[in-house]
Amino acid sequence: MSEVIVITSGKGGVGKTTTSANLGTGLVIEGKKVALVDTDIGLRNLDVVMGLENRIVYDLVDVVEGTCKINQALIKDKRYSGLYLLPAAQTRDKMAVSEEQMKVVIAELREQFDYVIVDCPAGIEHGFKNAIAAADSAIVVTIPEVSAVRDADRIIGLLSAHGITEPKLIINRIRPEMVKRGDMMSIEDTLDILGIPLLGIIPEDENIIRSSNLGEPIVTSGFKAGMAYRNIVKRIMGQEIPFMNIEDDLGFFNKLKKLFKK
Amino acid sequence: MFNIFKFFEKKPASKDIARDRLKLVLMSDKTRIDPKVLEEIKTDIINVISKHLNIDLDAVEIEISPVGDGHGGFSSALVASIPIKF
Repeated sequence: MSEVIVITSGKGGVGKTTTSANLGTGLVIEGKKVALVDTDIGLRNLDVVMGLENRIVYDLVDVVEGTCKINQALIKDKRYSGLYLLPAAQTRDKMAVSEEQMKVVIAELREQFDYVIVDCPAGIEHGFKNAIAAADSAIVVTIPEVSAVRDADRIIGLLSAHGITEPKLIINRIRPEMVKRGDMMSIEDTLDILGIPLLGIIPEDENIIRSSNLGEPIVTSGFKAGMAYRNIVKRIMGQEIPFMNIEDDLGFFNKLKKLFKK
Repeated sequence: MFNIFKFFEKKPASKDIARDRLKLVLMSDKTRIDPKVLEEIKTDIINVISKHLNIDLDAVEIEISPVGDGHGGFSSALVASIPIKF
């Protein structure tokens, strides 16, 4: 049985593409066969985050228009056996693909893959509707900032209106030291406002930028964001993994201070 | 001038301000009522009240507002301001 998961957020720049790349790669490391689908037509980026930008021949629009077969457009990631990318078109209008066409493409991918991860564009218009058209479930990515949480709330409402009633939340870029001094909304604050189940938290980690510089997903590394993504991958597969205690990141001195406060 | 009393005054944590602002804005996002409907409600209320009281028709204001419940939560209320003429 295959599962189609859309990664969405409303607001741009909160980590949808990074999350898509890492969850896809993480699922492959766990032995699954995964297709990553970039639906951000005109502003594709999943290819560069994955380091596969030089291997694109055909794209999603070519598949939809019948220029090529779906297997000709799928890029096989040579580093991770079982990982494939269906890139978005870069020089086409986003209206080039319809919801119905998207459903046909996803249905074909379902037959070949355990998981289809759909990277959704920012916004709530045509591209968003295409991305969620054939999804079984959704992961909403947000960061603990008012604008991102507001957009996440809007997205949760729209997903529900389209029949995706149980989205799960990833809170990205948590900065423990800011939460501790009361300058960043905590996980509890964010969950309280959005009211959907938590799938995982990703601490702010500068290695994310390093990994996107290199085109190498961080999930394969030992960095804390990589570990956080690995935990999420296991939860997607149905395992019960406790949430990361972000205070563990506070460092030795802060921990010592905390100890004396008790 | 630097005010030492202000310096020691406890400021609310910025994350609490963020959370409260979010709750308010989300509620107003969600309870947005079609202006046409609000206008109809206004007309109906004016009709009912003016049967009994002489009201200032031009100054009547009706809006959806967030109301704090005193425990950090909010709900929305239809708030009407209807000035009476004597």
